[in-house]
Amino acid sequence: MGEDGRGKPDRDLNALSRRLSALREDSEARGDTFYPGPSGVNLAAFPPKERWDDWVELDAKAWPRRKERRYALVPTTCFNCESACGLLAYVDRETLQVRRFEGNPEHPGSRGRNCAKGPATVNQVTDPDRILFPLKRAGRRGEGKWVQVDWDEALDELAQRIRAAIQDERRDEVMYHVGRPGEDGFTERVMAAWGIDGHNSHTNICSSGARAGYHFWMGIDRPSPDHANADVILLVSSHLESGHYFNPHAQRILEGKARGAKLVVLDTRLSNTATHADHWIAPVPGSEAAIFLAVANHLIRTGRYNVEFVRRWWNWEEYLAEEHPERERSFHVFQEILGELYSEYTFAFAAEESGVPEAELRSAAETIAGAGTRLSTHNWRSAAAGNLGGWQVSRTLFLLNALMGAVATEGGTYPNAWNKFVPRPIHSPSHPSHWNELTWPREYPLALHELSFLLPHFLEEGRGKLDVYFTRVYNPVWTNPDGFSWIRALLDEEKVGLHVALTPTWNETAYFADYVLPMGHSSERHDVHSYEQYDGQWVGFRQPVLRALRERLGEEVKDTREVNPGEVWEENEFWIELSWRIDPDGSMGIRENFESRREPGKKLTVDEYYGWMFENSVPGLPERAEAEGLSPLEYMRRYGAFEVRKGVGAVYEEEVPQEERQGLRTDEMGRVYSEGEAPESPNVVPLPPMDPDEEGRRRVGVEVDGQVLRGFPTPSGRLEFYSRTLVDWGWPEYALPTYIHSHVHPKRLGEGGMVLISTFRLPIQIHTRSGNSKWLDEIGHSNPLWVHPRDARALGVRTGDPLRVETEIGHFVVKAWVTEGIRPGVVACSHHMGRWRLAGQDGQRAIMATVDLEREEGRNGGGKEPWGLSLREGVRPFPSQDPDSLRIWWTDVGVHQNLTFSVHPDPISGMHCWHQAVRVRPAEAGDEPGEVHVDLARSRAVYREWLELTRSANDVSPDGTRRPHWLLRPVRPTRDAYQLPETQASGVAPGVGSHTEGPSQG
Amino acid sequence: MRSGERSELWRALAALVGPPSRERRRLAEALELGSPPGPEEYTEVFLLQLPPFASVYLGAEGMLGGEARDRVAGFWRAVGRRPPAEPDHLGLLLALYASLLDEGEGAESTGAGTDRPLDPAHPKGSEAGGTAVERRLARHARKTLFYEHLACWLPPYLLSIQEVAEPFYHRWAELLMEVLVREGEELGGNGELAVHLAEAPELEEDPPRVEPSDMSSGSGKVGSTKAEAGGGHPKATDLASQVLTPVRSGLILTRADLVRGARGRELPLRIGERRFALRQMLAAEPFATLEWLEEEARRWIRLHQSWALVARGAGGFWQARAHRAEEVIRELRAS
Repeated sequence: MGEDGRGKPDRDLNALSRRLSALREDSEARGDTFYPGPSGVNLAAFPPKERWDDWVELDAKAWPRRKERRYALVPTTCFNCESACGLLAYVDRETLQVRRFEGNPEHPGSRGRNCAKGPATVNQVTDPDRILFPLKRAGRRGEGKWVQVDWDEALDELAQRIRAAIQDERRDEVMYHVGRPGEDGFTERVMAAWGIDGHNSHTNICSSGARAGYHFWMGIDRPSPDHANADVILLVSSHLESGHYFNPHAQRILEGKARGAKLVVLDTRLSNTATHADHWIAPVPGSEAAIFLAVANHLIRTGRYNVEFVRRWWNWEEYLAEEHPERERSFHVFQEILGELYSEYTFAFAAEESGVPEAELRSAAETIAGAGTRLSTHNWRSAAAGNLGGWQVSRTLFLLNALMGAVATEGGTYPNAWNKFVPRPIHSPSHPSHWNELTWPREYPLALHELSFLLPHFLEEGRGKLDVYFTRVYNPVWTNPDGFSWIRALLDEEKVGLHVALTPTWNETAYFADYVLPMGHSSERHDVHSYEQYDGQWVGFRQPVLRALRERLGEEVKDTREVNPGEVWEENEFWIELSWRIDPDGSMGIRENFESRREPGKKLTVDEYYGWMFENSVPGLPERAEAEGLSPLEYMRRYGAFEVRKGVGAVYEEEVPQEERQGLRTDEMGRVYSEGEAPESPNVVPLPPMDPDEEGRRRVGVEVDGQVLRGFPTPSGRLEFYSRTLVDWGWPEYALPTYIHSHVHPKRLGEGGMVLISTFRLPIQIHTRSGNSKWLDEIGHSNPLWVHPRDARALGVRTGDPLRVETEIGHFVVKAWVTEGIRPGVVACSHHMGRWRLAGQDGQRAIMATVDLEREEGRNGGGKEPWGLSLREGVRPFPSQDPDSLRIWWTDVGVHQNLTFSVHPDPISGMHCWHQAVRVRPAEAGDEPGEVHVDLARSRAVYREWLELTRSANDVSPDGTRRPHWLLRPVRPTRDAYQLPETQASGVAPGVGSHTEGPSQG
Repeated sequence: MRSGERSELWRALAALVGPPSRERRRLAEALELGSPPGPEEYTEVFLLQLPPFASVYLGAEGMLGGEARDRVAGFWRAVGRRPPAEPDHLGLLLALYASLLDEGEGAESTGAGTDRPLDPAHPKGSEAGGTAVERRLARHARKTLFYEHLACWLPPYLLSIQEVAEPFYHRWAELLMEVLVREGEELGGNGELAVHLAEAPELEEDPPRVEPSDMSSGSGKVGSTKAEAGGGHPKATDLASQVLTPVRSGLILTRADLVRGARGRELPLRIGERRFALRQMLAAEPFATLEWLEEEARRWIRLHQSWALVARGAGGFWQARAHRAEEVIRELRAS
C-alpha cells in the first residue's frame, strides 16, 4: 500500500497488537468489558455492566433536541409469569423513578431477552388503579366499602387471630393460598415455622396432571428439556408462545430450530407454535396419549429404541417379578413382553382416536425415531390439564424419552431438580406435626398437590372452616372453576372468618376480602428463585430496585415501604413482622425462625436473610463477588443473578463417591444403602425422601452392572415404567403408562356435543396478574370463541355474532371468531379474559367490565340455585394521572367463562380436568356477550359425581397411612401425621428431615 | 508476531464496526486512530453509504441476504458455529477470523467475551487450546474464511470507505487494509477464485426492458408513455440496478458518489434509494449520466489495480468486471 497515498506504510502492527493485549488484560483484571463484542452489532447490545451506575441515553421524547438522560441500571426479576426472567430497571438518576424495564444480560436463564410482559412492568408500577394503602372493609363483605387503615392495625388483628388459632389447636383454620409463588420456599417455611399445614397452592388447577406423569416415572415431577441441543423437539400445545418458562424456553427452541432441529407440535389449535412446527398434529382433545403410545409401539416394533438404556435404567425386573412371576427374570423376556404390550396401539388406532390421518402420525413418528438421545419433550398444562387421566399424557410422552434414552442427555429431557438450585436459608423450621384434611383429603391419596379448588365444597360439607384465609397474588374467584361457589363461600363469615387479600392490584377475589394489603410488583419486593431452563443451575434475585439504588448511593433503608409507592410493602418483611407479633416473646417457638443470627433476639432483616444465604449456600458466589471487591449480597444486588453450575449432565449415571460408601448393603432390587451420613448440600431443591432400609441405612444409589450409581429418586431407584405405588394404592390398572379415555372423549359427548378448550393463554397476558398493564391490555383484551367455518355454517353464525355456550352447570354468551385454525367439532376460548368488577367497586378500569352479580338467596322451588353475572358496562376511557387512560378505544373485554365450569378433579392426580363438554347455540334474544348463568345446585351435583370416582386412602392404603410418603408434598408434615387417624401412633416420626420440601410452582 | 497476538488487532478492528461508545473510544485510541466521531458519522458511513455486509457486495442482486449470505452462513456451520442472525456482518466476520487465529495458534483465548453466550464467534468449547489436529483445521478454516469471504470484497469496500468517510473511519479502513495485506502475504495466496466471485453473474450486454412501473416511484401507476415522453433510455434504465450491483459491475457506487456525479454534471437528483435516483438521472439525462458512469468505471479500474497484493485472483476479477462495465456503458452511450 502507499503508492497512491492510501496507506500509511510500515506501521508497526506488532507493537499495536501488544499494546492492545496489555490494555485488555488491565481492563479485564478490573472486571471491565474491553471488547464490546460482535454482539454489539445485533439487537443483543446491552449497556456494559461497569457503566450501570451512570448510563447516559438521549431522551427519545425530546427529539429532535439532543437531551441526555442519566440512568442507574438496577437488576430485578419479572413477577408476571413463573419464568423469572431478569429485568434491568432504568432508574432516572435525577428523579429516582423507574422509567423503563429491559432485559438483564447477566441473567443465565433469560439472557437479556424478555417477552412483552417484562417491559410492561413499568405500566404496573405506574398503574393509576393500583392499590397503594392497606384497606379494611367498612360495610358487609363484598359490599364494596373500604377504609384506609395503617399496617399496625392490620398486623395486630391478624396476629391476634392467628395466635389464638394456634394456641387453641385450631391450626387448620389458618390457610395461605398462593397462585404462582415467584419465590423458592420462603412462605412455605413461614407456614412450617407457625407449625401449620396451611399451605394451599393453585397447582391442581395448573400442572398437577403433568407433574403426576413425570413423578411416577422419575421421582421428580417436572421436566427440564434441553431444547437448544435437541434434534427433535416435541411439544404438547403452544409452549413456544406461552408455555411455562416461555421466554427462556422459546429462545432455546428457536436456537434448536436454527441448528436444524425438527419441531413436532400437538395442538388442536393453529397456535403460533403450531405455525412453526415441522409436524403440526391437531388431535381430538384427549387423544394425545393414544398418539404417543402409537409412536412408542412403532419404536419398539421397529427396534429403534435404546435397548441398553432400557436394560440399565428401567425397573423391568420389578415389573417381571410382580406381574410375571412365572417367567424367567431376564431382560430378554422383558423385551419379548414389551414387544407385545403396546401392540394394540397401532397408527390406525391412534388415527381413529385422534382424527389425525395415519400417514401424518407415521411421518411424525419417523422424525421422532431419528432423534436418538437428542429428543427434548415438554408437557406442562394443556392436554395433561384438560382431560380425565391427563396425567397419562406426560407419562406416555416421557415414555418416548425413556425408550430413546433421551434422559438427562445433551438435547434430551432432564428431571428438573438437577437443573435447579434452591439455596439453604438461614433458618429451617421443623415440619408441622399434623395433617390438614381441607387441602389433603383422604379421597385423593395420590394427588400431587392440595385439592385447592374443592375448598368451597369442603367448607360447605362442613369438613372444616377457616379463621384466617390469605389469598396471595391469587384470584380463585376468577381463575378457579366454579367461581360462584367461591363467592358464596367467601361471603359466609361462618365458613371464612377473616379473608386477607395480599395483592398489588384489585382482583375479583379481593372484592370479597376483609383486608386488602398492597404488596409490591417485581421491582418492589425481594425473592430468590431458580428454574430449570437449560442444563445448568442458577439463582436469581428479585429486589426493590429503589431500595437497592438508594443503598448504592449510600443511604440506609430499613423497610421497603420507605421506597415503595404509597404504603406498598413486600412480603418478606410482612411475614417476619407478622410472625413476631404472633409470638412476641418467643414462647411459641415461632419467633426464633425470624430472628437475627448475628444478634439473637433481634428481628431478622432481609439484608441478613439474603446476605447469609448468598454467603453460605451459593457455591462460587462469594469468590466471584470477592473478585469484584463486593460482598455476595452486593454482587446479587448489582447483577441480579448467578450461575452456579453449567452442564450438570446425567446425575443418575454418576458413581456414588467413596466417602458415602460405608457399610454398604445392596438389597434384592439392587438398591444400595450406606451407613455413612449424608453430606449436607447447600441446595435444598425438593426431592422425594427415600426410606432407609430395615437397619436404618440411608439409600445412596442403585447397583447397575456392578457399579454403584446415583440412580433416580424413586422407590426402585430406577425409572419406573411399572409403578408399584399405583398398584399398592388401588390403581393396578394404571401400573404402566397407558391411555385413559377423557371425560370429553367423543363417545361421551353425545349427539351435538362439542369440546371446549379453555386452557390456552394469550401470549401477552398472564391470568389476572398482568391485567393492570395498559400496553398489554391494548394488545389483548378479549376472548372470542374459536369456531371452525364448518361448525359456523351449521350454526348459521359469522365472526362477531353472539353464541351461547352451554356447560353442564350453566352457560355463557360469547362472540364468535370463525377460523380454520381449529378442528371441526372443537371450540376454544382463552381463559385470560372476561375480567369484571362489581358496580361501585374500584378496579382495573382498562380491562374490567362493570357487572351486576345476580343470585337467588337460598334454594328456590325447583331445587335450583341460579347465580349470574350481567354486564352493566364495558370498558371506556377515563381521566387519570396517565393521559393514556383517556385513549382507551376498546370496550369489549370478553367473558368470564370459568364461572360456568364445574369442578372435575382427576381421581388420581387431583388435577382439575379443564376441558368442557359443551353445546354451542346461537344466542337467544336478549343474550348479551359477557353474561354468565350458573346453577350452583348442579355444580354441587357434578362435584359429587366426580368424587364418586375416587378410591379413598381409608379403603386402599396399604400401610395405614394417608399418602405414599415418597411423593413430593409442599410443607411435608412429620411422618406421624401421615398415619390415618384410626392407626395414628404417638411420638414416632422416623425419617424426618429438618426443612420443608420447597415450593409448588405453577 | 504470533497469530494469537495478531488476533487482538482483528478483534479490535471488528469491534469498531459498531456505534461509538466509551469502550470503542478506548479501542480506537489504543489503535492510534484518534477519537471516534459522533454517532451521526457512524450512521452516515455504515448505515447510509456502505452497509457492512458481505452479501451487498458479493450477491447477484447487490442487496442484503440471498445466496451470498447463505454461503457465509454455511461457512459458520462448517466451522461448527451456529450462524448468527447476520452471518455476513463485517464485524462478526472479523471477530470470527480472530477466534480462528486463536484456535490455530492453540493460544489461550483472548478476550472478546469468551464466556459470553451471546457472542456467536465463540461457541461452547471453542475457547482455548485444542489438539494439533484441531489447530490445523482452524488454520485451514482461517485461510478459507480469508479468501472465500473477506479478501474477495473487503479491499474495494475499504477503498470506498476511504473515499466517503471522514478521517476516523478513513484511518480505520486504512489500518484494516494494512492488516489484510499482511495477512495475504502470510497466507501466500489462493489459487482459486472465491465461489462468490466464480458464481457471480456478469453485467448483461442487452438488459431486458424495464417494466414501466420501475421508471418512477415503483408504485406502478406511471405508464410507459411517461417514460418514453421523458426520453428515458430503455436499456439504460435497467442498467441502473446492474451497475449498482458491485459484483456484476465491479463498481461500488454509494449515495455520496451519486450526489457527486449529479452535482458535477448538473444532473437532476431525486431523493430516493440509489436505484431509483440513478434511473431518474438516466431517464432525464441519459447521455450525461452514461458519460459519468463510464468515468466511474475507469476510476474503479484504477482503484482495483491498487489492491492486487491482497488477493491477486480477486483483484483481477474486479478489474475485469469494471473493464466490462466501462465497455457496456460506452456502447450504450454510442448507441
